[in-house]
Amino acid sequence: MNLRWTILVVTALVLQVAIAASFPIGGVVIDFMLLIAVCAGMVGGPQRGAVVGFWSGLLYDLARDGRLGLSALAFTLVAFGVGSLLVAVLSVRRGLSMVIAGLGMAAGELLYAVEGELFGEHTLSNPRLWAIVGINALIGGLLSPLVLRVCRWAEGPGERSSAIVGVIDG
Amino acid sequence: MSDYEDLEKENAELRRRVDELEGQQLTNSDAEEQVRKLREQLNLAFPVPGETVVAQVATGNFSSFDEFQAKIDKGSDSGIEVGMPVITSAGLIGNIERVSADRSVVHLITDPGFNVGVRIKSNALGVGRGSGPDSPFIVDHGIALTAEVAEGDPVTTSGFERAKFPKELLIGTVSKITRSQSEQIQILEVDMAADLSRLDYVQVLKWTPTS
Repeated sequence: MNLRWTILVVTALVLQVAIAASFPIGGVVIDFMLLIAVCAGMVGGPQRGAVVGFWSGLLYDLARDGRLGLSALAFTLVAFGVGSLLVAVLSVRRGLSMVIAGLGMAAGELLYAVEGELFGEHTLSNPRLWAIVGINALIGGLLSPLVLRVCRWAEGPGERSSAIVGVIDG
Repeated sequence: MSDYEDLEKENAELRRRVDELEGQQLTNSDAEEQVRKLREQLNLAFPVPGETVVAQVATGNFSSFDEFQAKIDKGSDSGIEVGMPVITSAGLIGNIERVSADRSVVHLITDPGFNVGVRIKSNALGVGRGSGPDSPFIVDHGIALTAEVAEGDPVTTSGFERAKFPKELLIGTVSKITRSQSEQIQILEVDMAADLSRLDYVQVLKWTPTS
């Protein structure tokens, strides 16, 4: 992970802890760290997504005092999956990229919930699971154009995968 | 000219002193508040079996998946073990879910998956559970239609053998009673005694289900 990505992930963590946690939307805290991971996959491809997803998830786990590795695993898999999907698709329009980011957020939240349940965290039985998934997907999708722009800056023009460029510029 | 300079210096010095005193006053009032909260924890509204450890809620919840957890600043170094009940001066709030050397995670009673054996004032026994943050505790098992229950009755832990809590830890008071003819039980809504939305200091009861 280069310096720009490091700055981006650390900034996202500060936003998560200082802002997102204090201003829940519909009672749901938006997972900026997951959004960064998903957008990293969309901008940089599966490998970049996996690396950024791993570090953003690990930092998130550390900040939350949660089970170490749960978010790291979920974010890595989802960002890798989203990156792989976009490499296969080659080029998508901006509107579709928002949908993909939203679906990536939903997949990440659900994957985390499944993992959490396996480790006794009562995450799947959370009565607001679908609100958490839905609101994160919606807000993540809406914020994705802005986050993708920042991720594009972090990735740098030289390193961007040509297959993924279509997502951003298309 | 020299008088004017002296006055300016004196003025600056006085301003600095005022700032210093204001800062000191803020620090003192903060310390007073901390002492008040700690004193509050010593005035328990119900009896507890054995020793307790006072701990401070350490961090906020940064994810919605953490809403049924609270992190506290004491761990195994202070004798805390998994399963120990956690209370405030007002009532039960949960039990210890995970422990590290200097921190612990509390599983809050508001979790719908958190079942507790309860006893109502009239000695009626049932099982209750949380129903989410800012929602009442629900007792929806075991209270027969014939059991005498009234609004305002205190609800405490039953403390049966192998229960996860000792007996008589206060949970709250009955606020609403619904009679279910189909299930032949009474469903009770219980206003929790402890305010879980404003947790600051808590006490961990040095009691484990096996003790």
